[in-house]
Amino acid sequence: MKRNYEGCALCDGTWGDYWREIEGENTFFCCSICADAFENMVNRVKKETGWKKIDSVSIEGNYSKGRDCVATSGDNRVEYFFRHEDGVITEFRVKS
Amino acid sequence: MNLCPVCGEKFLDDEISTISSHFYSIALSSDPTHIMWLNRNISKTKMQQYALNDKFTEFYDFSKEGLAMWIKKRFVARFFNDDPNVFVIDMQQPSEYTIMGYVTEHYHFLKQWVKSCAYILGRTDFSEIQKYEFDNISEEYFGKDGQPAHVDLLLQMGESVGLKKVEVISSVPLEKTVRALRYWDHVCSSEHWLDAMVSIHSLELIADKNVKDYGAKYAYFKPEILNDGITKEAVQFLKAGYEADQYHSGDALKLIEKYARLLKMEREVQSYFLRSMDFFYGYLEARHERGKMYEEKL
Ligand SMILES: [Zn+2]
Ligand SMILES: [Zn+2]
Repeated sequence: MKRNYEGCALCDGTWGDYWREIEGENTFFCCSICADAFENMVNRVKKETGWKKIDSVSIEGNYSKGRDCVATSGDNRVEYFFRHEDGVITEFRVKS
Repeated sequence: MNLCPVCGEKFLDDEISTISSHFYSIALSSDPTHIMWLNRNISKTKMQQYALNDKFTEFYDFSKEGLAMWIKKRFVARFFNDDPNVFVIDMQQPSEYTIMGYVTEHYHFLKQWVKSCAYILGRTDFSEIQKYEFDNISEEYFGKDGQPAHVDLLLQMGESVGLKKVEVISSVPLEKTVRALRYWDHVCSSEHWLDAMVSIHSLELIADKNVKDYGAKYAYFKPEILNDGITKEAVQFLKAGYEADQYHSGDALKLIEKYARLLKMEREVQSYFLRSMDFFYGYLEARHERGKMYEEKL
């Protein structure tokens, strides 16, 4: 999966050393909470779109503002916003 | 001594290297809370231990402006920056639900507040501290010089937007409020009175009308709403906090600065302040959550 961050897939930080398999790919996170949030977000995108896999995710934002994202799968593209708390998605909105 | 502003672990000395190496080793083990703190306060980019130590030295340095101003600036950076606390955003255009959430959670806050002040009063021998806390208790909870107590103004503000006093009094505070109140109860009843003092009185900066002088992008509320926009009772409550400058953070921070120097407790006072601020951050989120709950219910 292509990502816009080089550090932690969710927050771009480079502290910590936590790895989890996401969409078949061993992915770096700073901590388990970022990994939970990212994994839950990916699953939510797949549920909302019906996609079988996601090719890319790009994220802008942070914990308090929430995050504006773009995900793609083949020729399909979705823009959405989400927030999480302790890794659990508390707000998710597909933008029209 | 010093303590970790995240997990509260106590250190016997107040060397910067002790606290920075604590963070360094815990970050290596991917601990979420310490990493989030580093991301927010120091840097999102991992660095060598010596470089992290330099950053911590810089972060804790108050030699240029003094301890009180250091506290003010750190507080403003946490609550009134480009990315303010969600309740600060709510307060820019408060709805009746914002006010309701405010009243309910803050009622519980004030109940703890008066106890916290009383603990400090009882645990110090300095009479100017006792006088300060005595005045604060009177003003917040019992009314002073014929003025209504802030807690009564708060409940009246609730009534003015349709929130019954009995509903507020019988409510159970939300989890983040409970967590914060429990922390302040512990600090004020068990830790040094000066650590207690900075833990609670620094929080009054939230309603300080001078925050823009310390770099704030936002104020707690726009002064215009005191002229129109919300109910008369809400104006009265907000005004009481806004105009009671002399008892608010300014005086407390001067006392804290003075006694921290006298008692050689400056470093730990800084850390207690930082730790308390994070509980307060969660508490303000609880006010927002409670407002949302009222909105969904009505
Ligand atoms: Zn992260
Ligand atoms: Zn710690």
